[in-house]
Amino acid sequence: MNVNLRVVILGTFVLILLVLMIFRSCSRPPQKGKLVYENHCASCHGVNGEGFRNLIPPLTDSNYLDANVDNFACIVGYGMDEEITVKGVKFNQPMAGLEQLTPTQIANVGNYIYSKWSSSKKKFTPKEIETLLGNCP
Amino acid sequence: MNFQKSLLLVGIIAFSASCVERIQEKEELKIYGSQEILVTNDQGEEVIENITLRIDSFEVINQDSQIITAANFKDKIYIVDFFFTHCPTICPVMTKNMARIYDVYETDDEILFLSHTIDFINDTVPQLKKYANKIGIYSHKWHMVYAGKENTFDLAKQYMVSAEEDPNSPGGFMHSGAFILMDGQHRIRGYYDGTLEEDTDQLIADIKVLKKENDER
Repeated sequence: MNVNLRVVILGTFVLILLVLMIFRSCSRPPQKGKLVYENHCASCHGVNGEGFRNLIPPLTDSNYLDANVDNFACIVGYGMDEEITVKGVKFNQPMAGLEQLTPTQIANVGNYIYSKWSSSKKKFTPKEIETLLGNCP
Repeated sequence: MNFQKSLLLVGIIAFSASCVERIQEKEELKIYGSQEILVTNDQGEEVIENITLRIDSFEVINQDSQIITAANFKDKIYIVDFFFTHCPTICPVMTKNMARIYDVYETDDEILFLSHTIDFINDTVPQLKKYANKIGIYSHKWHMVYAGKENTFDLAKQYMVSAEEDPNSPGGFMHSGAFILMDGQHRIRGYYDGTLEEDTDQLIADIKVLKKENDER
């Protein structure tokens, strides 16, 4: 192989790697809801929605999710401070509301959570979330 | 260097630069809060004396109603934080990260944990016990303690972290999310953000430095 060709191949290789690094930045292309989830939910509820021992409930209980479709926006937006039973375990750790999230962000994160862990695969629209938020207790 | 080798090398460097979290491996940990002061000795000469901050005088009650003092932590390595059980924001994350350190050192008697509540109304001993049970920890290893308002805020000051009542904060208290790494002589050897996984990993690494220091003493 002549030297010039080697330099060209090596250069191309480095260039491809650089481009890959920039676009990949250590994760797969983020879905909108996934990003919201990872930034605002995952530190407590876990990257895989597993929760934390008997302190923080898992988000993987399909029954709980489907029974609380109408409460979802209020829980995310305004938090929660009551005892709930998830997968047979009682939880009563208060959760703070994420008041900085927009209805669109709540819809995105809802779609992410429900598509991953509920059997209904409920899909929220920002408009629907806005209405739900207006009716919070 | 031949062609294939340089390809491989470039690949390895690019990969490690892009993805690997960097945990620093330290040789030694600094001692926080030590000062050098000028004193006059018996001969009337001015000499420099080194004063080290030691947080070695406290008495608190843990989740088993046991009185715990600084003596319980002598010659140990321990991690201190401030929290409260009804905290809706950063504490669950801190507890989760602390539990991760706990799990690593669960069977190591040299490592202890000390969490001070700053909610003096709700966090009674039974409430602390309940919280500890939810995480499933041993009281002799991870002390969740009540010390009363004055003592606790005074301790926070000694540890140089913030902890105060604040009606505007979620849950009613404002406090630092720091994990403080302490050595067997009650000296502060490190501060970490207890809400961050990377900082928790660094703390786990730094404990090894103190363990080595203890072994050499």
